[in-house]
Amino acid sequence: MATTTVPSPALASRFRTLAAEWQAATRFLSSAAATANHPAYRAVVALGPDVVPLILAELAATPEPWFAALRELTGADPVPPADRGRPRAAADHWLAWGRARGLA
Amino acid sequence: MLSPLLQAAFPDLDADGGAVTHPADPAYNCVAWAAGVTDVLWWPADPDGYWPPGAPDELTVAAFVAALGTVGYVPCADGGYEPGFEKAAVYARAGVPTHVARQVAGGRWSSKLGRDCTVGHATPAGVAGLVYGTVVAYLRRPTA
Repeated sequence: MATTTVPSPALASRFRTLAAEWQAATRFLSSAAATANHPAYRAVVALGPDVVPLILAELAATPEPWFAALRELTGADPVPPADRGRPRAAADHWLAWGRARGLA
Repeated sequence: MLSPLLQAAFPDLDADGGAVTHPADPAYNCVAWAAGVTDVLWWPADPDGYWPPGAPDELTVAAFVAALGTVGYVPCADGGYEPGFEKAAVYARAGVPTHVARQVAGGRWSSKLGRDCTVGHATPAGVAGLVYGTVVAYLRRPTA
């Protein structure tokens, strides 16, 4: 379950490092599922629920496939079936979910 | 000028006349681009992907051929330019689909590179190699 804890600077720095590593390694892959298996992505998930606000901030900037991580970290899935595969719509659903909880 | 990242991932792209035509956009991918869609990720067996009803929801070349068939593509012999048709090339590594490129007017090819940019290239070989493997199927459909 996500919390409203403000991410520490150390957590934010670690997240940015892992996100950049993941982005560089998977940017040319078309499968969101494949990118979610990358070690850097798994390391982001391993950071725990406190990283959720950082992921939502990333999503607000660009609809990168962070959806699997958010599902794992929060247990939620606010994206309706009709918007599966539509990253911009999925990001909007997650941001609305986050705003309702003070996470975005 | 191709970026160092592009040159490293696709070492034959520069010699194949590769050039960036559209900026990075994670909202669509190569299969969607071949289908003519720019707000959806087409990918099978992926909880965050769309895959057209009627195509097997599995990561196989046959599933890609079937999915592209839902938007009018049928298998053809090669990637040679045929006026009145646009073509698609399905790439695979070890039999696993990795990428789809589409042929555009005049016979050049266009590849949406994952979540990254779209590039134009002279031949399907331009983006073949370590990342996407080789072309394993060609398809074509009449141009509108």
